[in-house]
Amino acid sequence: MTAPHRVHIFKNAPWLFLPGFIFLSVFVMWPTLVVLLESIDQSSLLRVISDSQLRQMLWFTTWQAVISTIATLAIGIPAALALSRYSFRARQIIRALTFVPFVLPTVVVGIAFSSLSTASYQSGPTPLILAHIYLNIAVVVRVVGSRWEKLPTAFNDNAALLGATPFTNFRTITFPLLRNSIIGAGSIVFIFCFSTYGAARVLAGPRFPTIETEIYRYAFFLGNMPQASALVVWQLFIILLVLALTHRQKSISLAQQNLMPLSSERNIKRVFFSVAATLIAVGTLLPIAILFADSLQSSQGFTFSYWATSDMWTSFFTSLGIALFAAVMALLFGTGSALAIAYSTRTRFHMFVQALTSLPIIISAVALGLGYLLAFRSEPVNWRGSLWLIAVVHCAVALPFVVRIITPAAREIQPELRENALLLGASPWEAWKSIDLRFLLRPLAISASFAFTISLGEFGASSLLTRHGNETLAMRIGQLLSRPGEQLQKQAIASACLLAFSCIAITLIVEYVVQFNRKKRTQ
Amino acid sequence: MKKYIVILFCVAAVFSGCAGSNEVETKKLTLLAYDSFLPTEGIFNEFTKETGITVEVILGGDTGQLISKAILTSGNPEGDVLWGVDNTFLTRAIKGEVFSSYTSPLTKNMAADVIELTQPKGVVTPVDTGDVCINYDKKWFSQRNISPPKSLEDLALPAYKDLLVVQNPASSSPGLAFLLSTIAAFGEDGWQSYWKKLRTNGVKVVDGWTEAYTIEFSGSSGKGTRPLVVSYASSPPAEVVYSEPPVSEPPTAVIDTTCFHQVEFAGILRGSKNEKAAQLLIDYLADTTFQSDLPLTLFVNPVNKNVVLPEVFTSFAAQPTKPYTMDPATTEENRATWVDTWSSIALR
Repeated sequence: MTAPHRVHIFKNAPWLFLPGFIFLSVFVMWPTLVVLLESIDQSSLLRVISDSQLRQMLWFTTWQAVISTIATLAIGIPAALALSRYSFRARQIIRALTFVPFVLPTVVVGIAFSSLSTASYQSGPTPLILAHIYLNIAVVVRVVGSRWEKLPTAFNDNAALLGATPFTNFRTITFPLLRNSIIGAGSIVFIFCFSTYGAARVLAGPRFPTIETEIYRYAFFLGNMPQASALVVWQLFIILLVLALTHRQKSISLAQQNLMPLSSERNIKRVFFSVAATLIAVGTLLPIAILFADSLQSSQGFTFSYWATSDMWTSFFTSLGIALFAAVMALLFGTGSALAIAYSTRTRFHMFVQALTSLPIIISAVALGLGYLLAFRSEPVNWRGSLWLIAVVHCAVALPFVVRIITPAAREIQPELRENALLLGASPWEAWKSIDLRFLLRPLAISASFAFTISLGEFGASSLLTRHGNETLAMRIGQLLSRPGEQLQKQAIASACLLAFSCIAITLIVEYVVQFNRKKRTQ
Repeated sequence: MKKYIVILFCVAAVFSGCAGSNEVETKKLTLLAYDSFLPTEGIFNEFTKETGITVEVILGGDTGQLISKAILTSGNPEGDVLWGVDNTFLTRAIKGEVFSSYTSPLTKNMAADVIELTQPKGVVTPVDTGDVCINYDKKWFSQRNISPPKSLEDLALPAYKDLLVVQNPASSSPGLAFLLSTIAAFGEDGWQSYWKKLRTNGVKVVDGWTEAYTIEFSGSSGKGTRPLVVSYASSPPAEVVYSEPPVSEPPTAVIDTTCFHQVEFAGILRGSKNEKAAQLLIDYLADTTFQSDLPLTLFVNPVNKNVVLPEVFTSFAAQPTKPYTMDPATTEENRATWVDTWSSIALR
């Protein structure tokens, strides 16, 4: 088609990535480079492969991450199906619940489960992998689910009529259509499991160090920065390698833009899936219930006092403010980057942006935190100790998710729709607004809730920044749990409940808005 | 357009706010401390009244993080004074040229053993001491009519099988302190076989204090299963002070023959532009007003002998008469080897 004017105002518009690029350069790449250049040396880099203990650690980190990713996908995909295709009671609440593990500190979950069983748990790889499944199901449910919601059922129905078994049906029709989103979800889960820290410390135990716990140990306990930096580089290298190997450019575009209506047929499949989804809910609800009950109980009986500390509410509102700021920024930079990818026809550019925007979750939190310390130490950028720097870190960590949620959605928008709008007399900008923006509202809302939740729970790089007090709720929990005394422990537990509740609330509000959207469209 | 100009001004204001903070010299000091540095609010008011200098406290993580960060920024520090390097980290901090030498004249009021652990002389000032000891769950032992262990040796007895949880000395400060106390107790030749016995006796190793005390230990608010844990001599009074509603007796107690003595120091960060004022602050930290605040806020012992300890502290915090100790240089020199050997015995 030859158009007299540009039909698509953002086609091949790499400048959309510019704000995101500047942000990533200043707040991710530069600090990391500063810390690596300051401390790295060749012998430490080589020691990672020559030293048998470090090699063993690297091997353990890799295989547990691979198994965790496969297992999370195996459980997460049916869960995504259940939560995006079938209607049953409490569907939205269950979906919101899958996000809770994202914000609950691992130690707090550990406290909840240790009060359940009388036996001392055996730390090792198995509890770690189970925890990874538990922590990352939300990613699969969200990323795969948002694609699945839009898959037309007609192909599957026809195939079934022609005698295809459900498995063949999934293998030949559904899976190819979902493949990209599965790979997308899988790569995020892999990054998370590979750079696991809290769960590894609590559940794998000292016998099974992972790369991130070793980076932390070398940097802060042994004071061996060259070795820590070498491990940071190896971590970056391995994850980027895995991302490159699993990268897929081609996506099968769906003619269908709207969400499919939810199925409410009463068959055995639906029952099976609701059971699976309920299990997930119990897995997340149970620790919250235990913790909540615990937070209302002192050794003398029922009490509200742990919820009535002004410190907790101050941190809570600080957390909300920071999360809001971080989410808005992440949306701004992330959407630009995502659209630059989606509207680009160049594969290399796509890979470049995708890799750069993944950096904040690939680079070790230790490197990022120490990088800020070094990069922003002198005038005019002496920003150490600024509150907004915490929000910047949170924004950086949330950015990859925003990009990964918005890119596929933006790609799937049919160019014909835009062309029709133009034929009907709309200007290119109007066409973009009425077509693209409309279809992007839902992924934008989902990204916003994701970014908000991530900011609420973030306790990695930002905890390494120097600060004036216990600024965020997550930091406060860490601080309370590092001292003896029932009161402090219980306050930490109450704070963790508050985190979980606000996470559920945010997700439900967004679900409601998005749901409202769905009803309107399917009318 | 107007909107953008307003935004621009706001951004400029933020920047200038950051840049302007260093202009007024010696009117404001920044005290960099570990996360659990939570003295009574307003404790520096008296200092401000005396000197006209205000003190801003900033927190930089646990001791390990604090020291690594201070070494990275040595010469261009985040604050003027650093609180909280202990004798297991002191040598590393000094090697990293973190401090600008100053020792408060108030060290004359301090005990000889504290001064002895301040090596090399003249760089930093001791500010508090604490002991890392085995804590036990009193109820657990009384309910079963078992008497709690009395010594390090007892911990290896079959009667106490599967009861002890310790921290990994490769990643935890109290964990390292406990390892050092066993090395000090059994000597270079004996500590390894002691740990072999502990392992046979089912010692559980976790990564950090929080995991050990809040998840595994049965005696505090957690519901763990192990009644013996490595913690601090001052943990029992903390259990009393932070009980809700108030209790008169802590649920835990200390085995005071198992303790390792730690001294914490404060020093002026090299590169501080306010050295003279920083010296005044160090003196204030070592003086009675501030020292009296330590027992019930940081749960450590003051080093200034003129301080009268509060009753809840004297009655419940163990004051071990002969705690184990290790000088900073020996610790730094052998730490890596000891921890590696320990790992091969206790973990693999």
